[in-house]
Amino acid sequence: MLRYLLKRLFFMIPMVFGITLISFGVIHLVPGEPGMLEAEMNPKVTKEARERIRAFYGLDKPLHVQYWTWLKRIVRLDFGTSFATDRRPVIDKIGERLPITIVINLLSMGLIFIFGIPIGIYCANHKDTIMDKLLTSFVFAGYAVPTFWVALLAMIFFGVYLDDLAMKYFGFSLKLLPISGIKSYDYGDMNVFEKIFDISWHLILPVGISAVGSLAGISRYMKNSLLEVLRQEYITTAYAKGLPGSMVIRKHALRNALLPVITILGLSIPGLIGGSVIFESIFSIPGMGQLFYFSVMARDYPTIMGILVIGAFLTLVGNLIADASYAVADPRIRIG
Amino acid sequence: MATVNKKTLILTCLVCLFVFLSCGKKKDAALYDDPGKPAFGDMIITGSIGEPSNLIPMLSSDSSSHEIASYVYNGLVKYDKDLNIVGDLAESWDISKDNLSITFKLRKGVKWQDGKPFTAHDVMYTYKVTVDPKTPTPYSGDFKLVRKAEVLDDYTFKVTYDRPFAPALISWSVAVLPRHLLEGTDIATSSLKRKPVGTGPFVFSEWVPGDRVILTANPDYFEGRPYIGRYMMKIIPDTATMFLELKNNSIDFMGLTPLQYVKQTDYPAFKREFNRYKYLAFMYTYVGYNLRHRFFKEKKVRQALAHAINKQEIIDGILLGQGIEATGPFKPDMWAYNGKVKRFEYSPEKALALLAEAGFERGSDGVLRKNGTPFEFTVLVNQGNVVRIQSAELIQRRLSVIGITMKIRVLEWATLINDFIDKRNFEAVLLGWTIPNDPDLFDIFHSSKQGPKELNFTGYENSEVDGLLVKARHTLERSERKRYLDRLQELLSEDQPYTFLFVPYSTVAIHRRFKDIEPAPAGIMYNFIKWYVPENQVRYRSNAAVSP
Repeated sequence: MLRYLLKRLFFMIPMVFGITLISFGVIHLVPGEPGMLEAEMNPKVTKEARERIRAFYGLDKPLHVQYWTWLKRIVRLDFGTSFATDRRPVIDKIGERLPITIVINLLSMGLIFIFGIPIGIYCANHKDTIMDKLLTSFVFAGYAVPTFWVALLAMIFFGVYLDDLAMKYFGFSLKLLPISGIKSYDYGDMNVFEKIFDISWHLILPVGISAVGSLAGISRYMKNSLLEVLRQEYITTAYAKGLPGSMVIRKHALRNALLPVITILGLSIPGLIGGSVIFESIFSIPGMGQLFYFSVMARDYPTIMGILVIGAFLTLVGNLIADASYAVADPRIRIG
Repeated sequence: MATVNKKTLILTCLVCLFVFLSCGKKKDAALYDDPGKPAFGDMIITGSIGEPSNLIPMLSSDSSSHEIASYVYNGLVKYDKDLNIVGDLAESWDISKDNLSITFKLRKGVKWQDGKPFTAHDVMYTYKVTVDPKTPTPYSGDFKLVRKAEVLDDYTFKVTYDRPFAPALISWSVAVLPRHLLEGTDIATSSLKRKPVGTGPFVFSEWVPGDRVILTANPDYFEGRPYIGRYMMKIIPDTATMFLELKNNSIDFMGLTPLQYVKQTDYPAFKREFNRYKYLAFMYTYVGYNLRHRFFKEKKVRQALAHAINKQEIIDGILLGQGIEATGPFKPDMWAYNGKVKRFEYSPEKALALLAEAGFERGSDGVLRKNGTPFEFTVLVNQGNVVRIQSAELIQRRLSVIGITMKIRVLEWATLINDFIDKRNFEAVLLGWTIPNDPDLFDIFHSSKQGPKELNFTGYENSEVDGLLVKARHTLERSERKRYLDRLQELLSEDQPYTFLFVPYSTVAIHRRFKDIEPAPAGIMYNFIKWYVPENQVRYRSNAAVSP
């Protein structure tokens, strides 16, 4: 087991190296350069000033030299300084934004499991009933419609529509949920409980909506894997010896059926990080996804690379944990 | 078991509902009709799609950084509401008889927000650090023309140029930086980029990364303390989200698109809470032709295209009326504007006549051809700018009527600039220019400005225009400068290197509790420190006037 883990860890090194090489190449292929995008076509920005800024960022050197400089720093875990005009250390920029992204992703992951697994179990047990079909349609609809669209609809409904209705018929303002951000304007004046309440209140929509899109995957996995198990002979045996249905499902079927679901845990990390870019921008949440969006728009190479490295690392670690916990949970593959 | 759960659930819902209802007491809308009396306090919340990057304005090129900096810093001079140059940190100035030097008399008793006095040495430092080759600023161009800068005494500052330079005076409107906090440090890494200290009407208070920037009124501001107590910029990267926040009353101030201005905000509930304002924007949209192209190098062809494009249709259909026809590179409420230039009204007949003179013939299939080559070209537009893309579509249709095939290619901004415009690899572009406050067009139309990354990318060459551009640039006397600019505009209209399309209106919504907002040629922000909220209409009371 230990040997297996070490081997996996060792193989992660060339993997991360390859990922950075490709990412570095790709982001430099994109036209446009840092610090200059908003200054393009500005008569007040002279050619000399432009050259000066390129030299300042080291962009006048050949690409492989730039990559080598970056690589030498990154092996010492030095993420460098941002190319945005704020010139802050990349690690600080990411550090102050990473916690909120992780919190939101953990919460929505929790929601996905809390709702996805029971839905899957229910659908497997009530296969081909109306309820099964309704639930399946619902989770697939959540999967199929674009997240940003659902987000906008929810924002309109809770932020504007309900308020207008209440105003029209009852004469008061009804702000059920905030539209964006994670803190109210008077957050600074609140006590600890109010602060916790304020942030939770702001997180309802983003967490809920990011979960809706991923329910389909997990519930389908759960359903299929449970159906698979239910076809096994030992299940028939369990029924034959007179165990009640719920006991068969809980004690015999579910334990085995949950195994493949563990894998999803690891595999869903890249999706969640990618999703953060979209819904953090829509909900104005100051997390890592939003930082990534701003950095790409500004061609802030060190920050982009920093986020990609951290994302790649989290993904690989997620895969590793998934494989490891799979091995722990399933004696059959532990030896391999 | 199940019933208990249900009961708890309902109870929780009711409690929540009650909590939210009790916070949502709304003011009587008629209250906002009362102009009241100016009072100190309240807060204005604006939205910004981008986060500021660096609050030392000469180091940043994004608009949200510049917006925050404009409240914190002052220049030596500024524009008043009618775009006349007036003193800001300078009380007055003298221009020498030979027009080569300017002597600024600075205000006395102005203090930096940390309490230190402001002097001419701060101006000197600002000049020196701007032209220092180690400073990564894109804006050193104007200051590089200064031959000599001198501090005559603590409140007198003199600059001398090699040649009279018309935009010289207004180039001193850049933010003056505090020498005592910066000298001897590396400006690129100074803490002032995130905690600015200026002389301006607002004092920096807090910046929550990715979320908000807060400023508070400067009680010691030399023009008087601003009435509005606090300013908050909320960072909302998505424009649809921002519009919802506006409708939800969570932000007080937002620029609107024509569609939002004309249709989506035109309902009683919105108008009860918000006033909408409009004023001519400092920009125009144009179709620029690559004048090296075998068809476009002929003036008659360009004039024909000007006749063939229906500008009013674009304004009515796409801007929903929120714009005016552009006749040249300036807008009508500027002193430099010449309203008597030749206009090209919409007329397909005149267009066809001009094209016939230029040697084009219409075949039986309706296609215009010259020596057998059909008149076809591609116009490039930048992605994300819906107004420009739709304008291109209307133009496409109008040109097809007279037998010209125009294709539209939408490109991402950086790709459009780097791969097409910089390499002169285009036939036509549909873009916009910012109209500068100072009417200097040298960089855009002078024939010497065709090098890589330079802005005369259409390749316009007219020796009379070149002469006028140089003369206008080096003449300080306004009426004489205006004569050159008038002639310049006549020539541009005659030559049509661009088809000038329209000048749009800037349309904004501001909450109705803010009073004394008056659109002018300079926009609406020129008297921001005089905006006020009457005592009975204040919304945000906490901390309203507390300095950090």
